Amino acid sequence: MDEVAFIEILDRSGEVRGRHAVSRFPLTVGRGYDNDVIVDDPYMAARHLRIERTSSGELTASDLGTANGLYVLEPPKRVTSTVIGPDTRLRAGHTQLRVRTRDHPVPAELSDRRRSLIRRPVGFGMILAALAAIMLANQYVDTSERIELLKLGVPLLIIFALAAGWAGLWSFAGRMATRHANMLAHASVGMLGLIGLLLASNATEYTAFAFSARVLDDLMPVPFAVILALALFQHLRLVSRKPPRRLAVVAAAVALCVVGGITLLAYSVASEDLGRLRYMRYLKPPVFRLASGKTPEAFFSRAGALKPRLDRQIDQDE
Amino acid sequence: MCCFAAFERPICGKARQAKSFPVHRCAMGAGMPTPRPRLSLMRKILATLLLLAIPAPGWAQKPAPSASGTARAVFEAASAKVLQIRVVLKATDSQAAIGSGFIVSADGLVVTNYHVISDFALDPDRYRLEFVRGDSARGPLRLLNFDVVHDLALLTMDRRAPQHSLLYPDELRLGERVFSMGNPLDLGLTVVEGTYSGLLERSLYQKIHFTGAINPGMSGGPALTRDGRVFGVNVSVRRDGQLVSFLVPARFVRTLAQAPSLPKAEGRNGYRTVVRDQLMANQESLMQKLLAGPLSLTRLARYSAPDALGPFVRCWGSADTEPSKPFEAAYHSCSTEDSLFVTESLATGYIRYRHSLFSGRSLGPLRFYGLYQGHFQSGSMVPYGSKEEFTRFECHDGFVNHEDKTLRALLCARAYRRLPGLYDMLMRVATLDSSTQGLQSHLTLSGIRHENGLRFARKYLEAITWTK
Repeated sequence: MDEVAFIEILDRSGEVRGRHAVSRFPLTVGRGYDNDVIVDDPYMAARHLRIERTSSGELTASDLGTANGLYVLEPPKRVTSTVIGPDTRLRAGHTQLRVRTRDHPVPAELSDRRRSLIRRPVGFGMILAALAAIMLANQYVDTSERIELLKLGVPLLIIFALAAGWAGLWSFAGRMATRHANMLAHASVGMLGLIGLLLASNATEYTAFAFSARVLDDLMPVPFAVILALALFQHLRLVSRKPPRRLAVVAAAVALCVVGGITLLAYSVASEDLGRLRYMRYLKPPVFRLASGKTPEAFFSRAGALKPRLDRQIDQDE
Repeated sequence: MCCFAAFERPICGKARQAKSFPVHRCAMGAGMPTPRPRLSLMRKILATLLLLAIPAPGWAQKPAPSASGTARAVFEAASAKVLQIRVVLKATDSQAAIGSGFIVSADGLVVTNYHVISDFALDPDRYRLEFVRGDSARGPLRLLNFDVVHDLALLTMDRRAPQHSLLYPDELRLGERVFSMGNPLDLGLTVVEGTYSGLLERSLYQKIHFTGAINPGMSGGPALTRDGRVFGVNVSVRRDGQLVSFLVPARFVRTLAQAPSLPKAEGRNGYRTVVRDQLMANQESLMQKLLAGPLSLTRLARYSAPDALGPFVRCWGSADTEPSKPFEAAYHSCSTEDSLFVTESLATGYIRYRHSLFSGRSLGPLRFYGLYQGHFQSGSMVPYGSKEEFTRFECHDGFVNHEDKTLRALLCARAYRRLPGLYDMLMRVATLDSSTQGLQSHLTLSGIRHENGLRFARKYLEAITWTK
């Protein structure tokens, strides 16, 4: 009776769906009621496989002559008999299972992220308030009409509806993957991302103006990609238990593709537009200016360099 | 903000595919630089016409017959000298453009508008020219010379003409009854009675104002005195008016007829170098004039900025003063009302500028600059242009110290691909002297040499000043 092991029934993503304690080897698994572990899988034979301990102490699994066979996964291979370890996944019929013994070590407990601010209602409230404040401030600055609260509020509601939809999608994904929706946390992450984008674009406008640097405007996709990658990473952490490094790679790749794709698309559309002017587009109150001015002499002599650039355009196309 | 609408567009007086082509379609096709005015009055368009001359049989001395009687006499005397000019697409042997023209010498010289035959001039391999006289007589035409600036072309029938028109290069008296002939919309030769309304005083390129109905297809036809002499050539109409039409004065016809003929041009570029040289010479003389003296100035609150550059520039004021808006905006918009027709999609040789004054103390600095920045980014005043004709814009921008203060300046230029040496230039200047008030000025120069453009832009920028 001392030989206690566990037959774990897994779902497709490897999560444990059922766990049966067994006290002796050998044992059999199958659909019939004379098995040690009974599984209601119509694709499984009445007696499907036997698990036993060899004299050398290893565990083996053997096919009991079934039509559908016994497989080990990763990579999938049909076997009649195989040695199994604690992480070996077997497939019998449509069921995945694995065998672990009592002495199987488990990793240290995760720190309880439930206590982190983004998962708590108070954190959510603070982030919501910050986003609303930044959006209202932006809108206030951007309108030169008389302020109407209703008009200010409508875009806010639209953004919140979109954010809720975004958080809802992630929550749904989380629910599917880990059974935890984490709606508040997803909403917090999404809103933090939005705050990041708004602040980055404001900061770009002001610094581009201050230093008279159009290049900062051109580089705007870089902070956007970074912020998107960070947000995606946090979302993925909430919906997946895969190693963080893998999630980070996925998040970075997706962010790069999305921002890069949009940037390229925008660039190709813009390059078709002959009326497009490329210049530092921002005007801010004079106190924000840090770069010093040139003399008209210097400005117009630099502008003389446009001519060879234009003539080169003609030469290149011929 | 009205103003930039006040643009005269050369019109295509050549009616294309007559019947199915309503006049306005023809005019819209003339892809003039569209100023994209926001609110606008005054949209002008020119349509081209043609001149013809009547050998003077001395009607004028007789007691003046009734008006319609004179028209009939003018028509009968001139009809043999007025032609329909066709630009024929060789590939399909079908007419691609039509206009009118008239015979000016016994050896068969014919005058029409440049814009009637521009397709041929720029691509002589693809098109040929022919005339149709009366119902039946037709024959080929050969291009001898043209004047892009005054929109004239000189052709020859290479055969002797039994009758030809005499020119009347002097001025007529205001209000005199005169006649225009041509073939409107390919419908047949007609005569139009109208009134001589004098030379346009405020025009970059001299034109006669004719009060009468000129339609596409009449371009290049003659405008005749009562005794049948040609004093002008139908060239354009204003679309925003009624019966406001324009003629090229006959003295430019005489100048053109006396100039030596051009060598025959062939190939992809046709007479493009000639077009280019004429445009270059024209911009050179205009720019020398503009660069010579000081600019006259207008005041907008504390600011002072260039006013009309000469009588040929019209300026309009407008304001944005809706009481519900927490800011005030006033605009001073100026433009030459002429531009030069090169092809149906290319007009050049115009100058436009607009000063915009914004005041918004109650907005506060951040909101005021939101508004101010929006105007700086607006696409108005960026001229239209096709890929075939123009390069992309290249820009240079920066802070410029001026009058011990700093302003923001943007200067962009593009090159004419097929008229090398010519450029379009635009400049935007925004003062940064106050946190709740500012003046922006947007300038567009079309069809100039790069160096001339820069010199004028600098002079213009330096004319923008302010007090504290």
